[in-house]
Amino acid sequence: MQDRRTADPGFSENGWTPYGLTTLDPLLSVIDPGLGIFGQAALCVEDSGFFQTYDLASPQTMGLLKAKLVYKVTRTCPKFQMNVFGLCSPGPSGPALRINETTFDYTDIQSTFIQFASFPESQTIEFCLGEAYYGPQTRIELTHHHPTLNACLLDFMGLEAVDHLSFERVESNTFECPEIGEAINGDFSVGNESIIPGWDINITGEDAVADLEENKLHLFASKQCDQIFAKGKLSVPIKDNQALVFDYSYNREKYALFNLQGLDHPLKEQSEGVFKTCLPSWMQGSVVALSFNLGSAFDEPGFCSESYPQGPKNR
Amino acid sequence: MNQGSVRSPTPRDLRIDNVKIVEDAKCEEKGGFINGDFSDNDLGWLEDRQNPASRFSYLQENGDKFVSISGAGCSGALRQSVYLPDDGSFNAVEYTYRLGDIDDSLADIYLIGLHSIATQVIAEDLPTTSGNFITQRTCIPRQAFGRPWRISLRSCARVRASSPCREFGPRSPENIDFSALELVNTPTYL
Repeated sequence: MQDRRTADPGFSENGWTPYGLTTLDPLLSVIDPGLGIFGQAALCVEDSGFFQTYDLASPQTMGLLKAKLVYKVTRTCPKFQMNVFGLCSPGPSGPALRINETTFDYTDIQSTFIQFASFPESQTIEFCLGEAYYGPQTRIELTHHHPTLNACLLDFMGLEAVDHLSFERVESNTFECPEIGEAINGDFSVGNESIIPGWDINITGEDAVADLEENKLHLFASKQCDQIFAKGKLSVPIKDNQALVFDYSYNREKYALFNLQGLDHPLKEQSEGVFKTCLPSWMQGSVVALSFNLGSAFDEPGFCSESYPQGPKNR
Repeated sequence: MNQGSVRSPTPRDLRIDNVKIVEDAKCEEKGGFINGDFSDNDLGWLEDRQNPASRFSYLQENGDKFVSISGAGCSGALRQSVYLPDDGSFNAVEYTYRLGDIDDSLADIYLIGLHSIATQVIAEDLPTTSGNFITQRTCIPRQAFGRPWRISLRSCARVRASSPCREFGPRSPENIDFSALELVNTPTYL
């Protein structure tokens, strides 16, 4: 099969087709000529974005690939729209990717919440390509997360712009991207006490520990405010009826969470157990984030406090 | 003493191993949801922790299974991520629920954006059903199609001033029960 990766990585008008109310401007640039623009109107309609089709051989032939996306989000916000943290809400929350109209890639493309921001710095993210990205006549779309209807009604001004999207090969044995159908280093067979390849560890607290013990991920927190995040990646295959499973043991009833692409679930006391959760079909073909979080024991007697995030309505 | 240096009465110790993907026939999506009929006590639906006051139990009456949710102050209890395809296959959510006949029992069904703050209301302040299960349909807002969301089932029982700290049992008059939830196609979409 011919290997034709995405054309026009710089959005200069010869590869991407705008739909909805987006526009291409070949003269504007951040890192290379051309900008795909989601203006206020584009963000207000149900579906706007850019698409193209390309051919890509299988990962067995090509090796694993990752993408580099450069984008920026700007917003201006009337004062009455600012929340108590001085942030403007709601508003544009960054571009999103859709592959072949079925796989929605929620790679860590996150919001840029900046009050009164006119032209904040551009964001560059790299993410692993899942199975859906490979094959002939693959359709890739850059769209936006959700229409910002409130913004449209409340004189909110926002803008999203994508400047660059390209694919590049992942070096083998780097534990950067998972093989199709696998988690990176999911059996924790590689690593040592201080390095766990394929897992990003974030620790708050001097005595908190994240290491490997007998080929298991071990998170340990002795102080109330200690927090540990261990974040990995999972490449969901294009197959129905898939579930994610892992073995775990935990000695408390609260404070431990498992998070799969933005949905978290408590892990409760268990001496030796298996956790299983079905993988929704929209994840098929993408690489999703999963993390284990040993959170602060905020409600024990003492000083460490933490408030729960507010729901959409708090009555 | 530094706030973060307070020693926890019991250290927290978590061990993880064998993170992998397996095939499981029970993960089949029917009507857009996994376990949308709540027939399995441990499938598809994740516990929502927005408010620790929420409670839920899988129960059975006359052979029919349902999930019973309670909790003061609009606590989310159960949620699941759901994709709303824009290919015309679905345009509404059909839900079967029951509420008691007391006026402090309310419930919501929300769609909440993954990785964003967008929210779409499917049903809010569901009316009482006098204790009987009834089936309703709500059209999905057009702007929700083509994206994954998490759907949240919430109890909004108001706390009575006389007993603001009462414990919720597995089933009480304040509970809302859901026995089915699925995506459907209705010809009267507006």
